[in-house]
Amino acid sequence: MNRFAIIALLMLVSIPVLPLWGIVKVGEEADPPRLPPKEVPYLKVVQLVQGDVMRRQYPDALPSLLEEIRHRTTLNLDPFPLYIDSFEDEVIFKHPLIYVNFADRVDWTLTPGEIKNLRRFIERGGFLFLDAGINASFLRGNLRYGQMHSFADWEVSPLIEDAFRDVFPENRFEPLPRSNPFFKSFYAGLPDPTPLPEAIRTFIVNEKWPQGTYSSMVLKHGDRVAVMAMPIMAMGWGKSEFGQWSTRIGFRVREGAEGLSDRLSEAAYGGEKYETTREDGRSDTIYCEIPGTPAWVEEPSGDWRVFRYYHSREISDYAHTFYTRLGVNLFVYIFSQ
Amino acid sequence: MRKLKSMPDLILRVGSFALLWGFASVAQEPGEPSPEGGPLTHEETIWRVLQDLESDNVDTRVGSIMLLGKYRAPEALSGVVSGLFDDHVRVRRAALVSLIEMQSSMPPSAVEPILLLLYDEDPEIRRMVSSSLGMLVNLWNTYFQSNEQVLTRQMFPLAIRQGFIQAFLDEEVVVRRNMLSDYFFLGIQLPESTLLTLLADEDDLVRLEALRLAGRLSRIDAILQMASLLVEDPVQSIRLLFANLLGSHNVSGGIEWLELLLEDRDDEVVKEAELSLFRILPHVREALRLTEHLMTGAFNQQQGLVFIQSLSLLKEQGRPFLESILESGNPTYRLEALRLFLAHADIQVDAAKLADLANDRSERVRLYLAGYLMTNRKKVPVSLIEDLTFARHDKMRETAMVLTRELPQNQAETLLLDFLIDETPRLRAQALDELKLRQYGDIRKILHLSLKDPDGLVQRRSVVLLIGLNDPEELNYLISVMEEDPKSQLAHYIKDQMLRRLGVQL
Repeated sequence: MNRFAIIALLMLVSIPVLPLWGIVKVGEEADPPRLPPKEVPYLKVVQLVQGDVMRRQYPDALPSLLEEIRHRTTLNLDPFPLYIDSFEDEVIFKHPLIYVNFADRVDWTLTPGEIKNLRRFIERGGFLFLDAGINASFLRGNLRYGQMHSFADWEVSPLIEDAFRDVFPENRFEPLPRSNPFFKSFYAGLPDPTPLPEAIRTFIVNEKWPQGTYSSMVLKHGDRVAVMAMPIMAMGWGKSEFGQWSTRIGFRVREGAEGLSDRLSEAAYGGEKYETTREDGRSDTIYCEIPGTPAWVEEPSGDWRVFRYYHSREISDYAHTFYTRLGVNLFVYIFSQ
Repeated sequence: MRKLKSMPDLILRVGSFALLWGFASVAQEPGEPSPEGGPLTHEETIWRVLQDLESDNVDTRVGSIMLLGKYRAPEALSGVVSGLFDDHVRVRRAALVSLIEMQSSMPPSAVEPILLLLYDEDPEIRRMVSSSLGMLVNLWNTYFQSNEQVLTRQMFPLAIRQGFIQAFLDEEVVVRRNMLSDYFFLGIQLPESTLLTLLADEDDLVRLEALRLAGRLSRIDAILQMASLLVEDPVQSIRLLFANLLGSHNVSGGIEWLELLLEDRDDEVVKEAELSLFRILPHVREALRLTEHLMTGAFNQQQGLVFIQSLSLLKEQGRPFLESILESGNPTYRLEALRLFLAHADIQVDAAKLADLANDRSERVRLYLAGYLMTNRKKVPVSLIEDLTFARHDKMRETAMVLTRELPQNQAETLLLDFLIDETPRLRAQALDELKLRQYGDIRKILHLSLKDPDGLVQRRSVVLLIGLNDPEELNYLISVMEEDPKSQLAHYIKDQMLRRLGVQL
């Protein structure tokens, strides 16, 4: 057996006995760790894209994040994912992680071969991350909406719920508590919020991303988190070849004012009205004036608040930093849980 | 009205306000209820909320602006714009957020009042405006460019242009940074004194951006006024940039500052200073030392390239340095050196050197050389073409083959016959074309032999060329080849080409 075959075999065997790799935190000021010798294969991430790979969502997102993880941690990830167009592809058994952007798969009906393979993959220790796998109800009418809004909802997309009912009929997606070690697996808490406008700082710190957490639904196999879904994160990862963030991100903030509840409760709206699920299981009612863009919300407490959208370079940079830190946490969590 | 930070053109603002408010106040009272969602119709909602704008209660006015910002009806938008002129900062902030939220869908009439908020006393508002400058200016330009009534490009009103200039010295660092980043969008000329002030700013990024801008906009003499600060700046990038700027200008004061930078604590800055001194006072002795820096990797890539380019200042004396750089291990350096070398090369005299370069390890270097030879094809000596015929890389051999077109028949034929045994099938096929073009005497015999070439491409090319001879004897020869092994790929190809080119069904 040649050297490469032995290494490939070791990787296969390693899936169910994670963690294998010690993860060392590299300070932000430090030089990146040296690459290991070339004959040692990198850890590959498998990305599912149904159809033309060139038309995948946020094409530079995952490579940028993987590059950042290489730079910040000792995880020896290859920045270039391996693309598959179906879970039937046996290559998934050679690598421990599959990344899927919900919008990169048009049809979420799993074939019998995919159901069988996914079950085997997860039983052998594999991890599946579903980006934009949480799509609040007002985002479901158009795939693009779910790529542009990371709305905190505690319910996976019904299509995903149905798909996984066939894989593990006994298991259901459940919320990942904000106290879960995932949120502290490499970075803990939020980036320094000082650059944010004063008007929104409190909302971001206390309501939007408390302690640097994010809405997340997980499906467990035994006690292990095997599948994780979140609202879109990839929009915050991509960097251009010149190292600049490739998207501009704004903040959606809830704001109220004295007497506004009365006005909103009787105000006309030209779009739809939707229910979204809160972390505690209660519901918000979202009203839209423009499709796919929440205008105001009726909260379970009886308060009504308006959604306000803030844009600036500082906000965009802050959001990118947060999403990238969350992405780093994701990979470190997967390889160390 | 609230007090503004400073406001040279209050009349403009009051005028805009009156116009917008007048428009808002003609909003229709509600009519019949419509089937849309909510207990009220859009008209009813907007009418009621516009009334709230007149409330003495700040919270009510803030809420009113927030809700009006959700509608796209002109009267609702006018109401939001009127909020920009409110006495209370919370209302102005709310209106600004609502309009910026709309991004490019905001009414173009809102751009001017928003830009005037660069004078606002509230730093948060000034930060928000400065963060959206690109979008606002773009919206303004798009509006005026698509407006056929306006034939000439509009400039922003004086008050806005003055607001831009004043904002460069805003007490908020975010505003200063944003103004510097968006300078080229603004269509203003920043006073040199402002730029010089920014060179002494407390913020590292502001100083760096200001120096970059000063390098493009200011006189070097003016920048030199700040030299004592720049050479001591704690930010390495600033000292590096300053050293670089000095090298681009031959000014008397520059050299003494560069000599100071030679003592810098950072080696990259020292190297930049050495390089700049060389650019100002090029000398062979110095070139020798700097070439050594380059070859030992002491320069960063950009410095290395600048050094190679600056060797042209030595004219003929620079040539030995270029020749040694052509031997370096860095392909980017070799390419840059080749560009300069070829600019003064004599193809006849330097033929041997060029033949060596044809075997360079870098494809970019070889391609550049090939392009140069093609451009100067009339001057390329036979000896060089002969050398290229045996070059290691097929692209160079292909260049040689094209260059044979400039040679007399006998010289060209000799070289082309060599190509018939080239290791690359594409070149063997191409050689057949060239020989056919030159009507080589033994072309038929060669084409017959090439039908037995191990490569299909060469075989097929021979078939096409033989058919092209339009000679019945050759056609019969092809038929005989076909009949020897009727199931071979070559036989199928001959049959297909006979049908396509001659309409002969075999």
